[in-house]
Amino acid sequence: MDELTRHFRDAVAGSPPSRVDLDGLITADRQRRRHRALTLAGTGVAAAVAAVAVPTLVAAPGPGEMALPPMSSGSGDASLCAAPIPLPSGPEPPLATYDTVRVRPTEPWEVGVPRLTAALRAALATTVPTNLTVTGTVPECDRPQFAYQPPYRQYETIATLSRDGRHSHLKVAVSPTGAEAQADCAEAPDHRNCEVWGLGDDGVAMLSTSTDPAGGTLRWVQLMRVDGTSVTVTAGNLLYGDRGPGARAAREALLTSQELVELARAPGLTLYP
Amino acid sequence: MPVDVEGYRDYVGARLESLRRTAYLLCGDWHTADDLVSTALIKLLRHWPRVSAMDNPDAYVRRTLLRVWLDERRRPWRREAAWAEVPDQPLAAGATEGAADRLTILALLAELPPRRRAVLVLRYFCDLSVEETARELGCTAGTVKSQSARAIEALRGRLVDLPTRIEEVRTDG
Repeated sequence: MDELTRHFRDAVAGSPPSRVDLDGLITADRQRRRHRALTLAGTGVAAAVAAVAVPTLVAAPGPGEMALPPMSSGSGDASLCAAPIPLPSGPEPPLATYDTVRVRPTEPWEVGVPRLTAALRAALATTVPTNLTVTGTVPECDRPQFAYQPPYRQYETIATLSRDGRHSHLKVAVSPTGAEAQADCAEAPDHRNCEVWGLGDDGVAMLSTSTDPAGGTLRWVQLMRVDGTSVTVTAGNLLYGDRGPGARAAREALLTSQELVELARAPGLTLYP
Repeated sequence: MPVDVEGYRDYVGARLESLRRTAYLLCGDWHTADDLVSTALIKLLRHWPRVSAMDNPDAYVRRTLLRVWLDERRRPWRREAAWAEVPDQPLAAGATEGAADRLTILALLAELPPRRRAVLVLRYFCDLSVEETARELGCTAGTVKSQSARAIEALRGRLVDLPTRIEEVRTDG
């Protein structure tokens, strides 16, 4: 059937210019691959978190409370209070923008808050001396728990340390390490009085203590983890929140710098679990 | 696995016109043909690391194009007939004779069921053997032969007249 072949070739002889955009196809496929990789990575993280969190959430202990994922360190009784979320009275501050040493974590704060809270409580249980009590500053919630601060993209909690009717405060913040950050005590309350400790696989810790003539003490520790997380722990005898009319400040911070370092090194206090 | 984009670009660049023409004979419309080829090339790119290592990547691309075309035909907006009526005679003589012949052969192809049309295009435009056509369509050689015979039988009545008419026009012109 050469005749048919000839007719076919005649029919396609006057082909118009091609509309096939080869470069566009390649670009679109490259974007698809990138999107797919990101989606798969996100799905993997979400699945891992769900595998840990869902069984515990199902077994929530009571109304107004949300159970926390179990921690390997043994804090199985942790529960999260329904903390009030204050509404901004004015324009919110701009989102803190700075480059980080690692891609920012994709973990939603709804997942990060209970995870970090459980890790902190486990660390407090093993680090804080038994004659010292730790209470949260959230009303009607006696255990410390993290809150997420969107403008600064960090998790933070403030707790009260008490011994013999004297109080001190404890503040823990977890944030991504900035790309420009150095272990140079730049954020220390007294950068002239600062030590830098190498902690091997845990990273580098900076320790500083500041005192004032009126008897105020502030111990500050910042751990720059190898994984790109910065954990800042401070303890001092400045009181936060309403502790009642009889509240009295302790003479000192109630936790030593070494104990603050141990808190900061807690395995779960990371943004890249 | 990283994609050898340059190898893909070279391969497609050498075969793009051939693929467009094959698609045009299958669907009868250049715009749709370009869309079909684009879709097939996207699929090819996704599997390029594997396809480029095959002995005969051309067969894979043709099969992909055929599947894309058959899938496209199943879409609701493609169910309307592209050719309501096959012209019995060339539309005009002289300068439009080429276009008339082209429309006629496309109209005749459009009358055929999809697989018979594919058999004719693969056998008589892509110059594939009966066995190669059977492999690409996923059927037996006997099926290709019977489909081909029926398709040619359906075209025979009007197809054999074409050379005569062309000759008449040339004589007149």
